[in-house]
Amino acid sequence: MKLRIRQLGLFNGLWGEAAKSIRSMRKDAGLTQSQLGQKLIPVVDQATISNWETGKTPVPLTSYFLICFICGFSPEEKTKQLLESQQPENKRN
Amino acid sequence: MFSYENFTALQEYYSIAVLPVYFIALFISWKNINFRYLISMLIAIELFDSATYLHIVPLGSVYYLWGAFVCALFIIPVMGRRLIAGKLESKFAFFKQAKESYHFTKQEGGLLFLYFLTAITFLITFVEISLYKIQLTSGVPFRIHMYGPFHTLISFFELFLVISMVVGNKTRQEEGHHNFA
Repeated sequence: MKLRIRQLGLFNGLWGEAAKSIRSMRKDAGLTQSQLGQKLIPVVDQATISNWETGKTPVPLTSYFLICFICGFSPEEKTKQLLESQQPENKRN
Repeated sequence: MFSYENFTALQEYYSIAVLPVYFIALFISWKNINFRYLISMLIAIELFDSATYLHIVPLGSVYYLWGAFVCALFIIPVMGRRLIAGKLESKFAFFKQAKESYHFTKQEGGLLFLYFLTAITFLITFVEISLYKIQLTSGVPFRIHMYGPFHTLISFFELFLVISMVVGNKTRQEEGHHNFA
């Protein structure tokens, strides 16, 4: 019984860490909450992302790893700016 | 160039390259206590995995279950290292500093996704082989055609993420110094 309670505590602790990590990853990737929600499958709204980040609602496992994929493989801010600066030149050509 | 044999050979090179790259990343990011803590944990688990590899392989299909377990071993410290530091901060000053300077980077999220994907491939392979053993299926196509290339690509992206994490942070630190100069 005590082991089960400790295991649940570990599980809840890890899921709390997952919630905090979503905010950190999203900011590192330069995405707003609504932008991140639009990239998920299925698409979720900004309020859902906010609830996940604050821990009000638990984030589903598949959604969490999808967020990890989206944020983890997003380009660096410099690369994004470089691509955006090149786009008007491509349109002119 | 993209034949199965080339991918399998590449997989062996990448599996050997993982530990040296981790050590290089640790050396580069030594000043950053957050990365030092993370990469030290990854090295410890990688060493554990390497040490147990030869004992598990002779057990047959149990190797794939063990592989999924090791992926979980990688996921838990990456996600929960702040909790671990919190438990140990009263005993070691290093963990107190690690907890204070904790930051979860996007590349760590990418690593978590790769570990999750690796665990899934291990479980799929285990199920496929188990079904083949009890003669419910006639072959193991995933194990033969997909397992090797998948793991090669995953290893490649894993090394790429670790290197981009430490080099990106180093570049940001240097830019910060230049801005204040």
